[in-house]
Amino acid sequence: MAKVLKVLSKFYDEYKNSTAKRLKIIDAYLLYVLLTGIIEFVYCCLVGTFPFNSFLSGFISTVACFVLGVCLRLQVNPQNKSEFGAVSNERAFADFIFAHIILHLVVINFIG
Amino acid sequence: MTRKAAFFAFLLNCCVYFAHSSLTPNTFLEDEDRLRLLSLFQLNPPFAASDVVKIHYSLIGSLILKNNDLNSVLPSKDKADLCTLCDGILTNVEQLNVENAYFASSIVKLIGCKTPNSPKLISVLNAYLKEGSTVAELHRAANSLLNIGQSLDSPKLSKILQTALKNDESLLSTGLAFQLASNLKGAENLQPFVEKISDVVVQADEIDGRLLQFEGGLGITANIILGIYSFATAANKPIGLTNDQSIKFTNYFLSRKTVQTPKSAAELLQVLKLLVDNKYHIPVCVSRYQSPAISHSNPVISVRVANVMGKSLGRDLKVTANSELTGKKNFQSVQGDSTLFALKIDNKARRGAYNISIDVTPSKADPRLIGNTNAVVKVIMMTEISIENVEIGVVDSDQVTSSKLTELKYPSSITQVLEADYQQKLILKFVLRDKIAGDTMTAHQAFVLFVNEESKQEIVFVAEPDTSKPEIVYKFDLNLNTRSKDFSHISGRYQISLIIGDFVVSNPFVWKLGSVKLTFPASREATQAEKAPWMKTHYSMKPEIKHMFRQQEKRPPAIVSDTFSVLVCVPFLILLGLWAKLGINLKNIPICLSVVIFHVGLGSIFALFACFWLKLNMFTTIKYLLGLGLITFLSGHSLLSRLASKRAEQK
Repeated sequence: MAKVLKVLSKFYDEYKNSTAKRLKIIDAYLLYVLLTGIIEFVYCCLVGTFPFNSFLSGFISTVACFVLGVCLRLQVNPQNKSEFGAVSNERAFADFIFAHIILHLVVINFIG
Repeated sequence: MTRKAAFFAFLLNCCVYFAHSSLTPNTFLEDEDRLRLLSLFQLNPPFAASDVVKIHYSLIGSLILKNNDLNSVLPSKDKADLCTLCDGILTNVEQLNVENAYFASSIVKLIGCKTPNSPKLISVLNAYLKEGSTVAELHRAANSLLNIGQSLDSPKLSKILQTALKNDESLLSTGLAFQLASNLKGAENLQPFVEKISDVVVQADEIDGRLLQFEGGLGITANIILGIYSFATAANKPIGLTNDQSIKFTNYFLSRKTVQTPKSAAELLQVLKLLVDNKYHIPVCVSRYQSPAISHSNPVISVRVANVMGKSLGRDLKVTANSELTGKKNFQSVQGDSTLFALKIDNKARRGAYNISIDVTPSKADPRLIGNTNAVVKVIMMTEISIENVEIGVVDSDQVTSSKLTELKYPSSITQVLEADYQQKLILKFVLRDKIAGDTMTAHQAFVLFVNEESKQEIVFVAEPDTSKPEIVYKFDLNLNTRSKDFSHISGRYQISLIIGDFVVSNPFVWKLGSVKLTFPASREATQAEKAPWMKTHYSMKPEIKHMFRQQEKRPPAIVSDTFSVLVCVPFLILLGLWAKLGINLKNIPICLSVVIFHVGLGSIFALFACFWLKLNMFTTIKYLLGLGLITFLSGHSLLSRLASKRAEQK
């Protein structure tokens, strides 16, 4: 148990020190989306899926936001420079914004 | 059923018997026939030239009916009018045809106008009397000449007529030829036509062995018979008709006394007038006078003996009846009517229908009288009946003894109401007795009628007689269980009546016996109203159709929903907390217009989405989105590219 705690604290320190600040901001966003999705899912399990389309659009929007967030994080991570060198951080952010607009248009249409 | 069949067979036998045994005419021209025919002959001025045919036949017919009394047929003014009309036709020689000449000259002769005998008219008419004219033309022209008082050239006309008859041997031509030939003089001129009589007569068609007629109907038959009789009279030869043939023709003519046109009626009357008096045959008509019913209170058979015109035969007659009913007896002539003869029956005859054969013999023998033997008249001997031993009652179905029957006397009815249920039977017994003969008898109609006192529905049953014993007893037996269907299973009070009738019974009756309360088992079968629902007379409102809204889904309690709504906001607070802890660096934001536009544009896009969610539709949303998106895109592009270039400078 102590080992596990030790590993976790070391992992946390490592993350705190070596991760860029802008990635931490994105991670905070990802955590927020993840928690929202979990709460919606718990509600669905406890109460039921009615109204189903609203639940679905809400839950899927969290999943999609999470995916888009992960994509943004991948593209702005300096360690992945070799893979996404051609994509600037600003370009990645613009794509993220554009994808969100399209996503939410669909989500709003579906939410009823 | 069998009784009914037997009755019809009996009737049929009567008809057949009539047809074959008695040829004697059983009808003649009666007063109502005369009146009807006279109304056909009614002449209404003003007269037109086109009416001459009708006027001609009407004059002939009404003169026969009025015994040649011209003054009672035509007022003197009409007479003068008709004379002027016919004179006009006959003097207008250019437009004269032989038909009009015949009818006009005939009217002139019938009325007795001044005869127009201009040489022109005579030559025109004579011009028709040549080889090549038809029989009808010869007949019309020659008769016109006779009508205006000219004489005929008999040898010449005889030759022409023979030639014309050879060319056209139709029945109509032959009849006209006989009529024309009867006007010829000299035996040698008539002789060639004598043998034609038998040739024609064989062409007559017989109907039912009782009638003889020529093909073509009344007009042709009348023409030929008139021709034959007048020709035979003129030639002074025996007529080529047997007595039976003559009677059969007479029967045919009398059967056609309901004719509807003046022409047919006049031809019929000409023939009937001929059959009243001629050298050869005078048919005798024997018909029953009034009702065929005779009874012991009125035991008189009345017959009328007359000629075909319904007049007295004009001589002393001995009328003899011969039958099972009367024996051989003479009728007495009735004072005041020379055609009426009566016979009183003095023996106690049994009820039933009798055929009476009647012979008519004149006191001075006359071979011309035909049809005077074996004329059959049907009479019915009536009787009175009484109803006896009437018993009515209700017994159990399985019980054979008739213990509880109530006796009844006609015409009283039972005072108490009988009651019967479906396990019981209603029994009615009675005997019909002939009051005169004293024996028991059956009636053709013996019905038991039930009338529902409420609905007035009538149910009729036939009471069957038991004819196996000499004492005929009617026993009506109504098993309520099996007969329930006839009553439509309707329980209730019913009036019972007994209906007795027969054609030999002079006192038929309907006797109300009383009331019975019938109880039927509850029906499993549909009643009439249920079988035919459309017969119901009342209409009612149909049940209201209520719209069913979709059932509301089960909702969670408000507190759970609210809790989760708050919970969903919690991660956002966490996000803000984390970002604050990390220390978001906003100093890097350049101060320029595009920053403001970009953020405002992005915000308005999400505000637009909120509006879309709340009220807008997809199309309006897309329209606004295009504008906002373009602005946001441009501003975002300039902002981000500035940030990128700034970063590149920093490096």
